[in-house]
Amino acid sequence: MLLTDPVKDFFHKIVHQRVLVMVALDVDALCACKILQSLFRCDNIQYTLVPVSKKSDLVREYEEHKEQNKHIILLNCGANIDLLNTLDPSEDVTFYVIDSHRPIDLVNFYCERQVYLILKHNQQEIDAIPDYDVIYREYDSDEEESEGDDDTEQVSKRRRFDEASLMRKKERREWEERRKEIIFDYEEFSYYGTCASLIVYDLAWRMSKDNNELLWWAIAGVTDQFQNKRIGRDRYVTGVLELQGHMSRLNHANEDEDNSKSIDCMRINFEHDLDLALYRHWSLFESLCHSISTVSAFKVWTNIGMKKLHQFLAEMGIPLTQCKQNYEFMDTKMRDNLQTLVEESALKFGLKNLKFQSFSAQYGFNHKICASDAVYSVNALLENIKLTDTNGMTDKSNFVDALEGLSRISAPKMKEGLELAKLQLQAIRNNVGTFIDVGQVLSYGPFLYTSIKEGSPDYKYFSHPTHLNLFSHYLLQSYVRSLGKSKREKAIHLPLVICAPCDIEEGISIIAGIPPLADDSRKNLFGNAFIHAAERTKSRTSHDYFDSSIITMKNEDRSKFIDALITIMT
Amino acid sequence: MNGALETMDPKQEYHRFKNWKHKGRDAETMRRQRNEMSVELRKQKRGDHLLKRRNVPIADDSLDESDSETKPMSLKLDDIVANAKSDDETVQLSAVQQARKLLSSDRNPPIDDLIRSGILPILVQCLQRDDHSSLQFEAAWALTNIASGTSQQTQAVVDAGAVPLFLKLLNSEHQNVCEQAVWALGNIIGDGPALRDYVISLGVVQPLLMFINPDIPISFLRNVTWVIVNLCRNKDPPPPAETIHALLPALCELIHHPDTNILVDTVWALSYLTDGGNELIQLVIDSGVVPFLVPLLTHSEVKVQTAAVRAVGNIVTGTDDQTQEVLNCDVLKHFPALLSHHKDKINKEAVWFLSNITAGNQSQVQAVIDAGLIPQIIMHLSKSDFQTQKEAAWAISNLTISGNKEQVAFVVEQGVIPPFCNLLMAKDNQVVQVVLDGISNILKLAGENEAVATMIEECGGLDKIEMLQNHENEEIYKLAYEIIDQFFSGDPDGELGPEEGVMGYQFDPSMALPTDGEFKF
Repeated sequence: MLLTDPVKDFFHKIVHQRVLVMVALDVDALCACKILQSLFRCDNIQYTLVPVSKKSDLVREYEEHKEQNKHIILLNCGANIDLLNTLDPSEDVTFYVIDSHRPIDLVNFYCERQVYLILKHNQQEIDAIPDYDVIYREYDSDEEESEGDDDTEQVSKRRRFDEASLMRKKERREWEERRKEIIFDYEEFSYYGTCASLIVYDLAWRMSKDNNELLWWAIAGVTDQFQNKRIGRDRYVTGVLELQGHMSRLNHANEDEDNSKSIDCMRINFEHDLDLALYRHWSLFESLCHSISTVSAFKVWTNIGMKKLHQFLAEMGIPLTQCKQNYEFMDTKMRDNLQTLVEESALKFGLKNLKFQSFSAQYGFNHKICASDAVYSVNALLENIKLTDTNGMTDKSNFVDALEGLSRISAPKMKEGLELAKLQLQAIRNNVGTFIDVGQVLSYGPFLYTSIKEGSPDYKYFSHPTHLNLFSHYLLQSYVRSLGKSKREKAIHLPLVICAPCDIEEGISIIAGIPPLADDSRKNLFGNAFIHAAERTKSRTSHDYFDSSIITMKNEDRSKFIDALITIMT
Repeated sequence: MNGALETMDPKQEYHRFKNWKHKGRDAETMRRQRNEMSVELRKQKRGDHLLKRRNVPIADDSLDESDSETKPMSLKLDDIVANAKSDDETVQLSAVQQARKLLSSDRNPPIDDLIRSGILPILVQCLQRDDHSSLQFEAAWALTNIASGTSQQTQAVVDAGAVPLFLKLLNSEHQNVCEQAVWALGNIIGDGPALRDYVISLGVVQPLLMFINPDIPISFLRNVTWVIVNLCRNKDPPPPAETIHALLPALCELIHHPDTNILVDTVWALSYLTDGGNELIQLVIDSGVVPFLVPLLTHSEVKVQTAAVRAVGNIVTGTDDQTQEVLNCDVLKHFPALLSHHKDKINKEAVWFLSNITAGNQSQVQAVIDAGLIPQIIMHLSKSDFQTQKEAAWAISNLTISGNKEQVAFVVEQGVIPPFCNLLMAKDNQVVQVVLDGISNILKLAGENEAVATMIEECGGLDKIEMLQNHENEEIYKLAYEIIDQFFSGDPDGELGPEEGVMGYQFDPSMALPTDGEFKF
C-alpha cells in the first residue's frame, strides 16, 4: 500500500530496528542509498547493504538475510514485482519500496500490510492504477465448477442452474474479461516514475536533515534518469526545477552570513551547461566526438562528418590545437567563452538542444564536476568489466567502487570512473560508426533490429544493461539522422530491438528494446511483447532484470523469438 | 551375479515392449496427470483474483442478495417439506419450486440438508403427477441437482426409486420435462459403471436415441449427446456390447454436427470407447467412423483437437491391424501441425500417438519416417516440457525395437543420439530405462560400426551411462552395466577403438553427408 506520511510510517518505524537495504545496480539507486546511509548515521540505525542486479538476486539475498532482518528497504527494485508472491515473506517482515520502475504491481499497491510503497505523490500515476473493485472481487468457491478448460475432459455430472445464477455467471465472466483488459492496459507499457533518490531526499527534507551533499545525490539521481533516457526532457525539467528550489533554500541562509561558507564545503551551482559528455575532463574535440547529439548530427564516423565537425570548430574560432587540448589546459579565455562560442556555432549548424539545465558541484578549488559527468563516471564504475570475474563477485565489487565514487566529489574513484566512462563512450562511438556503415540496423517492419556479434570489438561492454541501453540510444539517434528525409520520417516512429552476447559459454544473449525516437514519454512496450513472444515460441528466456524491456535468452531460440515479436507487433 | 546379468531373452523383451504398447501404461497414467494438472491450473486461476486474505481488505460482496433475507436454513427446509406434502396444488408447486431454487443457485446447494429433511420421496412422487407437468418439471430439476452431487447423493436419488420414473418421463409430451429427465439420467449414469449399467438395464438407450432427430432444439441435443458420453464412459467394466452397438450409429451421425459442443462430446464419447480395450476399438472401427474422426485432428477448435488426438491415440494402442486402419486414413499428414501446436498437451499426446505407431510393424515405422516426422520428434526429445520429452523417448525407444537397421540408422543420422542421451539424467526412472533400452538396441544394430559408440561418447552419453551403473534402481544399473560391458569395454583394443573413431569421425568427409552410407550398419 501507499504510505502517505513516510516520516511517521516509514522512518520512525525503522529507527530502532536492524534494516536490510537492497540496492539495484543503477546510479539513482546508489544515490538514494547514499542519502539513506547518511540519515541512518544521524540516528544510529544499524543496516546491511546488499546490491541486487536482478530479480533472482533479490530472492536469493532475501532468503539469506531474512532471519536477521525484518525491515527491508528496496531501492529501485520491487515495485513492479509481486513481492508477497515472489518472496513469500513471513508475517513479521515488512518491505519499504522506493522504486522508480512502473507500472507498480497491483498486489503491492493494494495489499494492506507488509508491502509499503513510498512514492512522490504523482496524481497521474495514481490515476492510472485500476480501482480495487475492478480487479478484486470475492466469489464463492463452488461457482468455479462449470468452466471447462480446453483440455479437461467432459464433466460427468452437471447441475442445472437457474436464470439468476446463470446471469451472475455471465456477469462474472464479463467482469473477468473486463478485468483482464484493464490489467492488460495498465501493464502494457513499462516506464519510470520519480527517481528513488529524489524520494529519499524528500524524506530527509521533511525531517530537516537535508544539506548540500544529500541534494547533490538527488541531483545525480535525476540526471541519471535523464542521461539514460529513462525519462523525457519534460520530466527532467520538472525535476530540475524542484531541485533548484531546494538548492536556493539551502544556500540562501549561508549567503546571509556574509558569504561565510568555507571553500571546504560543497557548493552546488545551477547552470545552463553544454550537453557534451565529459568535456571538462576530456578535450572539447573528443567530447564532441562522443556526445549523442553531436555524434548523430555530424555523423562523426564519416569523413564528411569529420570535416563538418572541423568546420564547426573553425566557425567557433578556437584553434584546433586548443580544441584537442585537454580542457584543463585550454586557454582560460577560450574556456570562459566556450559556452557562448559553442552555442553560436551550433545555431549556425542547426544543432538543437546542445545546452541543458544542469547542476555542478564544487569542493575546494580543484574539484568541480557537473552532474552528468558524475553520472557517466558512476555508471562506468557500476558496469566496469573486470577480467577476473570470480563467481559473480564483480557486481559486488563494482557496487562498492561506485558507492565510493559517489561518496565525495573529490574521491579518486570518481576520477577513475571518468576514465572508464571515456573508454565506454569510445566503444559506443566506434560501434555506432561501423553499425551504420555496414548497414547492420535493419528494418523488420514494426521495429528496427540490430545485433552485436560475438566477435565484434568491445562487445563485452554491451552485455551490461545500462550500457547496452545507452548504446541503443546512440545508435537509434545516429541511424535515424543518417537516413534520407522520407525514410527518416518513418524511422523516427520505430522502436529499436538490440541483441548482444551476454554469456558466450552458456550461449546466452541479452536483448533490449527501446521506444521510438519521436516518443518523449519513454513508455516502453517491450516488456509485455517479449513475454508474449517467448510464450508463443516457447523460447528459453529469462525476464530477470527489474526493467522488463531487457531480457536474456538462449541464442538458438533467438530467430524464432524475433519472428514471433514481428508478428505480435505488426 | 552372473545369472542376473544374462542378456534378456528376446522373446521376453518383445513381450515387454508389447506391454508398453498396450493400455496398461499410457492412457491411465496420463489421464491421472491431466486431472492433477487441471486442478493445479484452476487453483492458480482462482488465486489470481483473490489477494492473500491476510493482506487485503475483504471487499463487501455486493452480489449477496439471496442470503440476507433468508431464515435459518433448517427452519426453512422444514417448511418446504411440509408444504411440498400439501394437498393444495399451488402451495405444493411453490414449495417444490423453492427447493429447486435452493438447489440451483450458484452457492453451496444444501443437498445433504434437503436429503435429511426427507424431501426425496416427495419429489419422486411428484414425478408421477402426469396431470401436472410443471410440478414434474420442478421436481425433476430438483432431483437432477441432488443427483449432481457426490456418489452418495446420487445413490440416494436412485434409492428413492427415481430412475424408472425418469425413464417414463422420457415419453412425456412436454419437452421441458423430457429434457429434464434426460439430464437427471445423465447425472445418474455419470456416477460410475454400476449405476450406468443399472440405468441401461432399465432401457434408457432406445428412448434416448429417439430424441436425435432434426426437430430437436440444439440445447436439448447437447444434453442428449452428453448423456451418450456418460454411457460410453468408465471402462471397469466397459458398457455392454449391445449398448455400444446401439450408440455407434448415433455417434457416426453426430460427428457431422456443426455445433462445436456436440462435436466435442461426440469425439469424447469415441475416445472413451476406444479406451476400453481392443474389442471395443474394433467395434468403433467397424462402425466406419474413423475416416471422419481423423480430419478432426486439425479442427479449428482446440477442444475438438484434444478429444480427437485422444480418440485416435487410443485406437493405435490396439493391434497392428487396428493401427493400420488409422494410418490408412492418411492420419500422419495432420501431425506436422499437431507437433508444432502451441499447447503442450497436444504436443504430448501427438508424440504419444506416434510412439504407438513406432511400436508397430516395420511398414508402420516407415510411414512415420516417410511423413517426415522424425526431426520433429527429435526436436521434442531435446526441448519440450518433460512429459512430451518422455513420450518422445518412448517413440524413439519403440522404434529401435520394431524398426529395421536402415530405419534405426536413419534416426541416428537425424541426430537423435545427443538429446536421447541427455534424458539419461532425468529423475524419472522409467524414462531412464526406456532410453537405456533404446541405446542398447541402437548399439546392437550398429554391430561393428563404431560411429554410434563414438557419438554416444562424444555427447557425454557414455559418462552418463557409466554413472548409471551406480543407480539405486536394479533394472537401471543392470542395463547400464550391460551396455558398458558389451559395447564400451573389455579388450584393450576397445579402449583405443572409440578414439580412432573420434579421428575417423572428424576427418571422414562422408560423415557430414547424412545420406551417405556411413550409418548403414
